[in-house]
Amino acid sequence: MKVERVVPVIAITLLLVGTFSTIYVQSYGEKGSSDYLKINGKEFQINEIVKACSEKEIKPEAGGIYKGVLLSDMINFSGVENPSGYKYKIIGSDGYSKTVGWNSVQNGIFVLEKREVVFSDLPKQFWVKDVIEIKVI
Amino acid sequence: MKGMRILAGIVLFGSLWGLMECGLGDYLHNQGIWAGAIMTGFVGFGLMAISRRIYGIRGMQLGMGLIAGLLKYIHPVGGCMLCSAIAIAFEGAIFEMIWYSPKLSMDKMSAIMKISMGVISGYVIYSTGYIITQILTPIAASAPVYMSDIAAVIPKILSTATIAGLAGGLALPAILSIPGDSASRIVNARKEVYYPAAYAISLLCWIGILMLS
Repeated sequence: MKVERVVPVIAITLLLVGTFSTIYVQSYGEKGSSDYLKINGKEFQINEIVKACSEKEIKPEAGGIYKGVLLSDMINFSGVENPSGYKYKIIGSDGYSKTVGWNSVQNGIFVLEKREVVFSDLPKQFWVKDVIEIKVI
Repeated sequence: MKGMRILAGIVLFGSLWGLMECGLGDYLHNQGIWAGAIMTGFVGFGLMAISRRIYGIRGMQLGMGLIAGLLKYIHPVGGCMLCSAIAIAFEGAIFEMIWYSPKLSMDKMSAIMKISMGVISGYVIYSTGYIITQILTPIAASAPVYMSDIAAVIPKILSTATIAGLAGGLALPAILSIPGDSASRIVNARKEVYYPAAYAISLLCWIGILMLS
């Protein structure tokens, strides 16, 4: 088959894949609620979490100064027993997720404005925006 | 073509790319616009396509990506420096792979081919660079890599890559609309003009990056 025929077909296929992926990502995003956060399978009100957990300001290696609720307090508040024995999968509304160990959780905060989890010891790639769930695995 | 002339071209275009990533890229990132996709589709791919058109030398774009990636890494402001630097460095290599075939001559393409190759280049360069950085950034930062995290982010990557693909589809026909003799004029410029101009612009780019830091 001629290159002139194959190349446009590949281009259209890629754009279709991109379009369907956008629809999928958008539908995933609708599962989240702005007032609630799911931790360890249980739904908590954000206000409830803020009242129960302490706040901290951190200066991550990646730069900037961030203030938010201690992630380790949030995990303890959700009722996880022996938290150091698990890993934590932090999931954003667009499906972006990152799995971290307890050591990193202890260096992490939940920034309320953007619902963003920020770590002081990990690259920005590990920060998850618009968090909807934290799974204990 | 003399090696030094090509090397100066690599440094020049890599520095321009690095400056754009550190300035415009960070600005778009802070505005919450699809910074990565726009920068890859218009700027990264655009500069690589321009340099390929001007010099017609394979391997140049690999060097450009490495220089731009390095400049992004040493610029301590904006988004994820390590992940961006890794992605940019690999974008040059991905361009080389896509445009390896001698059948893909930029000067002999129909309008449909130009748009299609732009879309394919923008889409593949962005999505592959993104996936590579998802794997290599944790390794470089001594953090664990979980394949489930990478699998989960693939729909988002394929979705955002559409922007990069569309940007590439616009950029390539625009670049190829510039007359070919303009390109040969740059390549064949007298050495008394070519080298000082290339090095002076590169130096200005580095100063610009330092000022943005």
